[in-house]
Amino acid sequence: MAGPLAPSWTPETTDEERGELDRPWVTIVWNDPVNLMTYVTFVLQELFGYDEPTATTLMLQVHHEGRAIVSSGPRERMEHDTNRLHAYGLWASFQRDS
Amino acid sequence: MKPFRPARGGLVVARLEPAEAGIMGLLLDQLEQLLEADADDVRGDPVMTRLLPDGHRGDPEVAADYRELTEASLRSDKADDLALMRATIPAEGGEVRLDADQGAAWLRSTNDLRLALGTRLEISDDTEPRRRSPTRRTSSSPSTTGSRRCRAHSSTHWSPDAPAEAEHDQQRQQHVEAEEHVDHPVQLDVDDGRADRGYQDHRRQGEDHEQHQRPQGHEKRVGHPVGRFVHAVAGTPLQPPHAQDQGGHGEEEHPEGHQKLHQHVPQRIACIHRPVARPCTVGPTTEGAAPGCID
Repeated sequence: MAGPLAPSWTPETTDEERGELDRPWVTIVWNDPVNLMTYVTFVLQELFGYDEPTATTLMLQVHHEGRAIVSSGPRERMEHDTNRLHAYGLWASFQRDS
Repeated sequence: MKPFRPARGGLVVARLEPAEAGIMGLLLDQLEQLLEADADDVRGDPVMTRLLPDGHRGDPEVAADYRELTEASLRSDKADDLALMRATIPAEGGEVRLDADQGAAWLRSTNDLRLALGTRLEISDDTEPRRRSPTRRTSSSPSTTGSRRCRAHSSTHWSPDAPAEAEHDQQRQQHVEAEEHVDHPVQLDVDDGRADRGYQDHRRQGEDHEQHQRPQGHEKRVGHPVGRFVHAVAGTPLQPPHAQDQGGHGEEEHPEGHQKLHQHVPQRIACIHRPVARPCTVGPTTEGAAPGCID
């Protein structure tokens, strides 16, 4: 009698793939020449529940460095966050964390 | 315009002049045309690219998947916001009272309008403002995530009508932090330039006033949701509601201001639905004449 069914072959996960899987996805807000600082701060508070100092820090990071990561997690959630930021007119995108 | 202020019942209240209401209606119409146009017809339009940007940079396939999933709903949400905002604007001007949902729709739609105008005007980080005053002072109030030019562009209130408005409304100057150095980016052809000169004069008054009013800068914490809404719109600390009742009315300070406004209805504004190289002409918005583009 045969024992429990088991796969006869399991694909190996390469180190490269494992590294890829370990890296979370992130939502990035990019610098924008039109949006107001106060507006960006407000939106970050509104959408992500950041307190004002945190939201201000992120906004200033966008302003000075050109971009800031505002959330991280599974891809679907980052897509959702990006969509919510687009609804508010912020310039946002999602990607794997680099 | 009397800027938004918190009122009882969690509302925010502002007052629009007839010309302001007319111009806002016009621009909302133009934005609506873009949002409701066939997606393929406006694909590649820089304004639409900005309002409905790629969700992923670097991988066109992921970006296309994201767009397919989200674009239609994002478009319709923006159109809904726009309709909600328009419904609150009295056609002949007057009081605008907003609850939280309407306020949020205003925030998103006015921001979309600003983005659309900024895109048509090709505002970028490299856009240098034209210098106006030979005696400039250094601003310590960075105003946008981009250049100061854009701060002027967006300013405290909605901008295309600002030169005419600014001649009369000193309150507005209290909110405009960085504008003292920059020309108004939306070029308005006002008949004799009086509004423009008045704008500068008021701007200087505003500087003086601002120095006394806000020596600590503008990043005052405003924690209340309505407060944060007003702060996000105005970019300035709030005055408590009772301040209005204690003589804070711009009309009282400038009794002739709002009468003059009608003498300076902007004659030309940048259009959203076409490149700025071909600005449309807007007729006078008073006396029930609906503003419209004239090629």
